[in-house]
Amino acid sequence: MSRFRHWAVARLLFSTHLPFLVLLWVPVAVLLTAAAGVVAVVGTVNHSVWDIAVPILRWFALGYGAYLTTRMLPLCIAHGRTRREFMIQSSCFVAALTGVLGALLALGYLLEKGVYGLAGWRQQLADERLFDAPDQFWLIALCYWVLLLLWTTVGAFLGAGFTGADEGWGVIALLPAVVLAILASVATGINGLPFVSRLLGESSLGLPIGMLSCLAGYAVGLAITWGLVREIPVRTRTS
Amino acid sequence: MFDDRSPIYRQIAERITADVLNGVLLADEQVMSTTQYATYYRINPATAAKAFQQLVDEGVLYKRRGVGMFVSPDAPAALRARRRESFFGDVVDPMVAEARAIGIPLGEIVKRIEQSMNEDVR
Amino acid sequence: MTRARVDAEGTVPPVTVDVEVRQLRLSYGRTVALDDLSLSLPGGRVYGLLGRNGAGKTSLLSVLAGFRRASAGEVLVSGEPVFENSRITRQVCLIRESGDVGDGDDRVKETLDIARHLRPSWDAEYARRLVDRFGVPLDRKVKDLSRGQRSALGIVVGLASRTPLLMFDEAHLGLDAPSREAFQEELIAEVGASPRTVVVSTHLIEEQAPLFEEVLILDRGRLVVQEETDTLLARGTTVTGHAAAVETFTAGMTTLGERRLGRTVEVTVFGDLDDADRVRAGQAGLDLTPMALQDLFIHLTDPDVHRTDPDGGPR
Repeated sequence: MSRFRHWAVARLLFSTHLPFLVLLWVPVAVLLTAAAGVVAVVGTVNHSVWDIAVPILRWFALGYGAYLTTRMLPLCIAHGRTRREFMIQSSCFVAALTGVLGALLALGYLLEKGVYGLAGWRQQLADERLFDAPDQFWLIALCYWVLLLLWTTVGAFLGAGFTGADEGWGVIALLPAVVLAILASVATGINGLPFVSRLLGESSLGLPIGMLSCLAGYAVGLAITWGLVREIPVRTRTS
Repeated sequence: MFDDRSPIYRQIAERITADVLNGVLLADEQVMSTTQYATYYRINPATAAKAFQQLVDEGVLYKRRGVGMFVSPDAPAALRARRRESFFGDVVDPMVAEARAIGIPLGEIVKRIEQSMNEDVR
Repeated sequence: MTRARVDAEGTVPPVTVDVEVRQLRLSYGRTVALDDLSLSLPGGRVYGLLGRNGAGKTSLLSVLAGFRRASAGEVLVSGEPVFENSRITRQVCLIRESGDVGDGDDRVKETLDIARHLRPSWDAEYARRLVDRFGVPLDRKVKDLSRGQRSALGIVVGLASRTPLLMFDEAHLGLDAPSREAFQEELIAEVGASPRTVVVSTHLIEEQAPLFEEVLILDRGRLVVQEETDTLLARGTTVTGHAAAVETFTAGMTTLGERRLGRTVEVTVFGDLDDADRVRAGQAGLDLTPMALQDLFIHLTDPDVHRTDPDGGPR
């Protein structure tokens, strides 16, 4: 047990946050299948509901990232953990978490394919996606992984920027935040920002360059987060 | 619970001394621990320990390593002797001074004392 | 006198942590909260930290706990810098009035579970007992707790963390009298069972003073007094009597304050009075009374008093 003491933050996140976030997948899947059913009753299903809905999750990732640096980090410091410990362990956790979520979302496409096949509906995916068939499991998982990974990181440094010693950094951090968020969207073609797709056209980066630039962007995001977090104070909360 | 005039540890020491004099604490009997005293009076254990240390120095208590504090076998007698010594200085002299200041003749005081002696006899 | 404490029962006290602060400075932007602050707290004692609002108590404790980085100076616990030093921070626990240890939507039992994960020294069984004693409902969300219950939760987390350096910053706010007594009893039992370095900041001076072995008084970011509680208490005296007699008696002494009622004057002097002084006062028909810690504190941190010279008469 003492062997894992050094990884207390990661253990906490894995044992409490991971199951919760993973279990969220079930109601989302049920809800979206029901939504497809409703659409089928009213008219005809000719698009993948899953493909339309789940990209919204990156906003959730953004919020979760901000939650990590604004709530979990102060909590960990208050319980005698250092910022460095938190940064290392929470980064590992986020990488794993978004990987699992990416796989679950890809699994959603597969399951939807099965349901739609039985019901005789058309599972059309959006044109700009880097993947073009619901059964490209690994490619879909990879796309969602980097998307959620980048957005969580962006949320983390925005949260730290706006609650740190000097809120001015939050405003400055908005610029890399927008760049990284757009990068993730463009590279994966999972895009909910219409003006961006019009601006940049369909995913034009291709798989290798797109993924590599996302990983480079992730490294930049981590560096920004650490820069903002390494001396962040635990604020006196007024409540 | 405590007056402000002397440090708390001294007041606790005085209380334990009074208990020994009154026979509440008997010779060779174990006293409560510092922590028990501290919790009871809601004071720092170190303050209680200081009181105990003073009583050890005065020979009222003795220490048995690893067991606790006990009342010295000769403490009740010694304390009573010490009290008797200081009685006139501590009690009688100030009373006489006070009587003089407010104009009570000493003869009246003696009369009062004789009165209570008679009551004791009866 | 040696600082090492020997228990009256003769048990050997375990190793405790010392705190050393040198030329500490902490500023928020242009506001200077602590300035050139140096102090040393030998381990195994209970310290009371007093100061008016804004004196820098929370700032000091936050730096000691590694919640903030010092702007300048050194903050050492067990001889090592605190900030971002996990070997030290895991031995330090600060409970602030603002409640850093519980999140709004988490339930009390989840909050305790988080502490169990993050604190190597966490005593879950003790936490259960404390939650029972303070009547904190385990299933309630932290944001739905009353003010007092939230303070009690902080106290539970602090005590059950069982760290060698334990600090409470106004942690009793909103607690009712029985709960405050319970807090005192638990704290006494804890330091009685194994000596700990404890720092308690409070405005309830008279109520908490018997717990403190030493008292530290901060005023506007600086340390005004650090002294054993008994010694400090022995130093403040109120001299009451006829104006002329009081003036003669207190000439040359450090006076902290003065109040007048007709011809009667009450002057507070700071410093040791010897037996000769007491005799002199008796002959002059003056009344000498020891000051309560709270009065002493008020005088020592009075912004007006500091500017008067000891011999100065009424302003």
